[in-house]
Amino acid sequence: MQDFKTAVKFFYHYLKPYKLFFFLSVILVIFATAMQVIAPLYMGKAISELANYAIELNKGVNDKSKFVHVVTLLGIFFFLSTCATFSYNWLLNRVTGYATNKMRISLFAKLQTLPIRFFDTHSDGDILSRFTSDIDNITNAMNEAMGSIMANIILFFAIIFMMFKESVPMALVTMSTVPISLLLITYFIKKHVTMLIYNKPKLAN
Amino acid sequence: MTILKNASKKFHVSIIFAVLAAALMVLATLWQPKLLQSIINAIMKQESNKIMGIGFWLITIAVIGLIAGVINTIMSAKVAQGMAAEIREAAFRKIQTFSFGNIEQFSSGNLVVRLTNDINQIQNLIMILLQSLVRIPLLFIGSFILAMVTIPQLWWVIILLVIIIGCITFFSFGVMGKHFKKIQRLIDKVNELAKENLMGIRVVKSFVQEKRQTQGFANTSDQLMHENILVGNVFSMLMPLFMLVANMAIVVSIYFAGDLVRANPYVVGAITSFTNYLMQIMMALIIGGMMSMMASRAVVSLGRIKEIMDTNPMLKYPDKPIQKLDGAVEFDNVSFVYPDETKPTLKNISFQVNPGERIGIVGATGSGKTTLAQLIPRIFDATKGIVKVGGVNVQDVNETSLRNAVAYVLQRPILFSGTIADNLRQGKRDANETEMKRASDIAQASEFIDTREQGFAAPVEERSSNFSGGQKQRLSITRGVIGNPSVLILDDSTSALDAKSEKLVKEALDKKMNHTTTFIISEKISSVINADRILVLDKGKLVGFGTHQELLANNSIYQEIYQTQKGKQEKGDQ
Ligand SMILES: Nc1ncnc2c1ncn2[C@@H]1O[C@H](COP(=O)(O)OP(=O)(O)O)[C@@H](O)[C@H]1O
Ligand SMILES: [Mg+2]
Repeated sequence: MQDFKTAVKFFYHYLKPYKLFFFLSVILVIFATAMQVIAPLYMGKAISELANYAIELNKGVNDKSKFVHVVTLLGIFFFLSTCATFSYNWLLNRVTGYATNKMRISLFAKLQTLPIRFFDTHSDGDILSRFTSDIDNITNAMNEAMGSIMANIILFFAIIFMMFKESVPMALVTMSTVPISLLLITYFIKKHVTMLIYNKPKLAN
Repeated sequence: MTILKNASKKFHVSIIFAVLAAALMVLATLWQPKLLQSIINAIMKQESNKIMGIGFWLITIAVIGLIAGVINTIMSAKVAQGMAAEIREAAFRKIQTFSFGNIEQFSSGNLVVRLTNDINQIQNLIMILLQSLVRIPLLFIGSFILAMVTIPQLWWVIILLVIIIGCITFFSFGVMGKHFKKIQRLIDKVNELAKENLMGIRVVKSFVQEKRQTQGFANTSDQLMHENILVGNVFSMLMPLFMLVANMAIVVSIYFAGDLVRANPYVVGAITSFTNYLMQIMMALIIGGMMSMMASRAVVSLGRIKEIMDTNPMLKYPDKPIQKLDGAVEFDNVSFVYPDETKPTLKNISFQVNPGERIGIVGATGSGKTTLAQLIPRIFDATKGIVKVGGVNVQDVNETSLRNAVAYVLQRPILFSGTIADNLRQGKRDANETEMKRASDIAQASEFIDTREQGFAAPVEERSSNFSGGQKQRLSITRGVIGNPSVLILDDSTSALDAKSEKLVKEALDKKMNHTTTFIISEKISSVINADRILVLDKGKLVGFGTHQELLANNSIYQEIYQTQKGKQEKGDQ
């Protein structure tokens, strides 16, 4: 827990300057997720409109306008969702780039201020690996974790919520196929969280 | 590719398991929508007895798929790690054969990055290959066919989807390749700077260069950041773009289903599974695209490892039986140019030394003393002329014979972390306690080794920080004399010793190593004054060879050096 707190403090320090970006990307994530959840609903709607249209057609009425309207909306939702996803990816990528660069440079600057004794008690390889693998891992974790995991968790719960709203037995059936993805998700979360905590405290001192 | 092939030798069985598991996974994935479809039908028709049956199958298949997935992941991880270890080891072994010239050509920091970062990239690649190489094409073909069968009239949507996504992937692949190379090079540079700074941290601090060092580092780091952001931007565009294309394909197919409905009402039911398969196709393509992305990064890394493997050691040792070389050393019209330099550092040097002789080498800093000495143990090869040890051209003896015959004690002593004994055994692999004792007595190292509780088993820290400069030099000399070599070269190896210890070392060498030809390199004439003969170097030329008295009598450069040093000495003595 202590580790976790220092980890949060560490990241907060480096990410503070980008608060606004973060705020913006959280809004974008929520917006994109909403679009992603709404779109399938409209897909269902489009298909039922299609069925309606087929039935009407049998009755001799040829009115496509409702169907076309729903399909157009569907297209617009998809498009907006793409724009939002792209924007938050782009924002987070910049934040990650700048933040890790600052970490790398302050790590180097910090080394310059440490007493010689530090270098005699820490192995070179250990110090060097900070510059390559550790910063690398943080970059990857931040890139992947912040965007996709955030979006996926929101999406996951939103979808479950929607499914239960639509039909309880259908939701249960679908959920029975989920263990794979669930397992994958927990695996990824675990991996990233431990990685972040693991990397951090050594850098902070 | 041969690198991967060689490394995979031990892992054939695991690879087959991984591949089979992947295939099983695809079958499960393709089967699931079908069952899901029938279960949905059953729910619609309220046939609860059927639901249980199909539901059971659905879960069974999901579990099989899950188990196959786990097996695939475990096997892939095992193979990837194992192969990466093999590659790392092979590369490391190769680097051991490198001569100084090769290492200078790569720079050591760069080699470190290749051994760590690049091999990690390759490990990722192997993992991805094993996880996806079978799964993705199968998934793609399977859902492609199923989509085609479901609504054949919409074939052009499928084809269009494939083509557009293919084009995007291909385009970004091309753009990325270049930048991955750049990124890898910048990572090298960051590492190199960090390493240089670490090694020279004492210098940096004593000359108050911290700010300037950090500035230089920040510049490179900034470059790396910009490249990273650039690549990241392409990535952040790619995923949504793929999604957009696939989603638009779905919108378009639903829209055109409206036209088909008039002729075939069944399209209404089929459109759901059609869009489902479109999604699968897209997933396959995206994962395929990501794979090639990663692959393109790993291919850069693979190329960098290949560069190591393909580098020929600049020096080759002939395959000859081991021979015992005596201490005669001869230079025959030797000139030497450093790799990447144009001007020769040594010019037309010729001399002969008899076994057991004490030879001093003097000259100003940069006159080429170290360079000359390095040619004897063949750290570099002479550019022109011949160097002989024991009467044989050094290029005609095998490595072991030469190593056994010549011991070279470096100007700057380098000890490895481990124990004192570990370091001494580098001079003689099977050295026992008695031999170590004898050698450390000669080098006057016993006096401080004995004070350590563990004796020869006492630890040597990284950068040998638990020893003083003089102690390091004495350990280094111990390592040089322990193998009882025919030729011993001490390159300024006593510079950190006080005058008394230096004298004791020299006397011990005279007494106990009197069959060994000894070269003592120094800038100070006082260090070589008792040598049998002295080589005088000036700007890469041999300008004198004789005893101290002879040189003092008729060598103007030697006289000059002697006069300036004598002046200093007297001043220092006052
Ligand atoms: N690895 C190298 N590559 C290129 N030039 C070198 C290298 N090592 C030494 N030199 C140059 O060769 C010359 C002789 O150096 P060196 O043999 O170390 O002199 P000394 O040992 O007499 O001080 C110097 O001008 C030095 O700059
Ligand atoms: Mg030298």
